[in-house]
Amino acid sequence: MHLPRSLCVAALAGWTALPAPVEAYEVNITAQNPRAVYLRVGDGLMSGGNYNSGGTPVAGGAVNRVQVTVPAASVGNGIPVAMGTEGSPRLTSDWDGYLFCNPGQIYIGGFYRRTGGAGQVAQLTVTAPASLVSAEGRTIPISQISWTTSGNGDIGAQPIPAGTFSPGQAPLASFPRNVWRESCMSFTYANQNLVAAGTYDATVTYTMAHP
Amino acid sequence: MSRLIALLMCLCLLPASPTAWAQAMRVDDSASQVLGSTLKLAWDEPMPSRGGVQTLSGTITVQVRLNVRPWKGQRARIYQVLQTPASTRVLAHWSSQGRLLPGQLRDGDRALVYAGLIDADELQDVFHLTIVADGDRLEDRETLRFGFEIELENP
Repeated sequence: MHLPRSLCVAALAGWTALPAPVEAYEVNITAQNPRAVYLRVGDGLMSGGNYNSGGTPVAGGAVNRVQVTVPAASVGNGIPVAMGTEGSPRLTSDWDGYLFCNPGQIYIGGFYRRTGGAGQVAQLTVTAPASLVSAEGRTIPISQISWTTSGNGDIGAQPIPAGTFSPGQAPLASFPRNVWRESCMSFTYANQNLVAAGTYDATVTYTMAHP
Repeated sequence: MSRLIALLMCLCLLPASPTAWAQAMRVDDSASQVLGSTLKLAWDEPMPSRGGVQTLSGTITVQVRLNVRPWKGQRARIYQVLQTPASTRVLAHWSSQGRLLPGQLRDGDRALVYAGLIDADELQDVFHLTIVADGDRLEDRETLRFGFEIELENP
């Protein structure tokens, strides 16, 4: 059978124009809130209970004070002095309310959550001034203050390591994706400087930055 | 020798069970319709745990319409299949209104949704489909491709 060439072309065009049957329905998915970051240092604020019972964090909370009074006879003798806290900062974990820290410690914890992004981490840093300063303008180097970390019930290394303050911004720890990390900090004054009587203050700021 | 070959061939032709099932064929479900746009998955836990898998989930409605006219009058099994997505691992589970079976499946797998006589040109049902995805792997956007395949009894 020989069809005219024009008819063959038309027949072919008609066949290729037929829609191919779709044999799969598709569901497009995406994350409603793909990223979140949470950091609490000291008291912090939660609303509605702990995280595991539906609570949500609230920005704010007290700026907690760590302090020590050195007896006049001991000033500058080089014997480190443990620091305590002013008042009673909250010691429980916001994850489940577990009593994670002990009196005198400062809680620090949080998480970096995101979908995908394998290998990406958030960075926790601390920014400190060069010195603690008295009302008279006298100073103590910020490097006189150091800390250790622990956590009730924890075994192994703490996610936030021990360290000593230094002027400027310094890295503290990496937070991998989708893992809750927390520690309790115990501060120590090195007491290596012979300084005049007075109250010496400084404020340090903790920051968590994510990609 | 020829007698031995004939015997072997006869043995090979014996069915493994009284019921023989044909190779799976794709079912035209082009009339199926997903109700709604992109399914936004929410984290199943408001915060990461101290370990374990982080999952997100969400539910969407699908009007399922399967064109089974080519196999009308035959006994068959129909399975829902889910292709493996590019980035994440997925668990899908669904409820139905009874014409098709409820069930669940993981990506790359299949699950039975119908078994019996094909007595109509089209099988219809409404699935409330819940998707659970691994948040550690899910990239910004992902397309899940579902399909259906049929196996005939005694083809």
